[in-house]
Amino acid sequence: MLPNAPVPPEPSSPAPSDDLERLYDAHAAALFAWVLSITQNESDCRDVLQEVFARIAIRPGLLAGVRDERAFLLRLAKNTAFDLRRRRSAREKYHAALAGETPLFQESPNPDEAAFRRALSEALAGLPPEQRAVVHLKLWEEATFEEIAEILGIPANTAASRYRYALDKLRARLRPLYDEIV
Amino acid sequence: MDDFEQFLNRQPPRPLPPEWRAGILAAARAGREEDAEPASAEPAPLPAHPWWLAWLWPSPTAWAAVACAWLVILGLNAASQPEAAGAGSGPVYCSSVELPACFAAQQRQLHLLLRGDVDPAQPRDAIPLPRGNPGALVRPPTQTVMA
Repeated sequence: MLPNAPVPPEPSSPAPSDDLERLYDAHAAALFAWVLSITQNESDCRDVLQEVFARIAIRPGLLAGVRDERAFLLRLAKNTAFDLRRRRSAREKYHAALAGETPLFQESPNPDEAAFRRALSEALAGLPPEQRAVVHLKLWEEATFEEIAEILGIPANTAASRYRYALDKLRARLRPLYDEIV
Repeated sequence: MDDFEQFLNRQPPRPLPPEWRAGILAAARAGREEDAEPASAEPAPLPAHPWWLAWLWPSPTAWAAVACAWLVILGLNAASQPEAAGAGSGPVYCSSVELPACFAAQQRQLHLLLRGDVDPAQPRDAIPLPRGNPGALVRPPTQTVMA
């Protein structure tokens, strides 16, 4: 179970409206950050979230018997995001790339912190998507490599090595700014 | 986690826009109600895409290219076939009815070859001479006379 995930209720029968709202309130913020990290696009992120919650609403039994709601939803959101990306035409992808960097972190009134967060967004955007996904789950979902492996459908060793490679790149790129701030 | 990782971990991700909540939940509920509606008496409209198109997804162009490549290969293969079968160059195949007769003929031919006889039906000129030293066949080996 991921540390940030609230304790899910016992596997429930068809999700009524209030259950949908509960799921949204409990997980939507994490799903937003996760999908934003994958798609790097706010508009796509909204489409993905809408599709995820629409799927849950249409098939209330989807979460029945699920041990870890958060992990399940993260996996569902990842698959939905990849489906969306595949459906997109090459032209749409090109326009999305032209739209520029999407900030992944909260704005900060402190100029040093703001600069670091911008640099961090850029550095994450520069990582291969599979490494970025592992970094996000490890650092901001505080998932173990086993949990990451389950969410991404990869071996735990692969998750660990991707994380190490990605962290080395982030360290190399952000070290000067980090040293200034700390 | 080392200090650097902990520092990264403390950077808060962007918050979810609060105005999305109502829209996303409303769309999800609308989808559920639409799904729960009983089927009407009217026939269902034809799908926008035929079912087989799903097989070609997500790269219909690539599949079309593969299909074209196969057509070209099949065309070239058909063009390179001999004009008609049984032109005499290939082996002669016997049907199961003619098999005993064929076998007997082959036996006869083998017997003639082993005996060194020549098929009288074959012209003499057509008999191939052995390669190598043709003279060796005509000239008997010389006997060495020991002095």
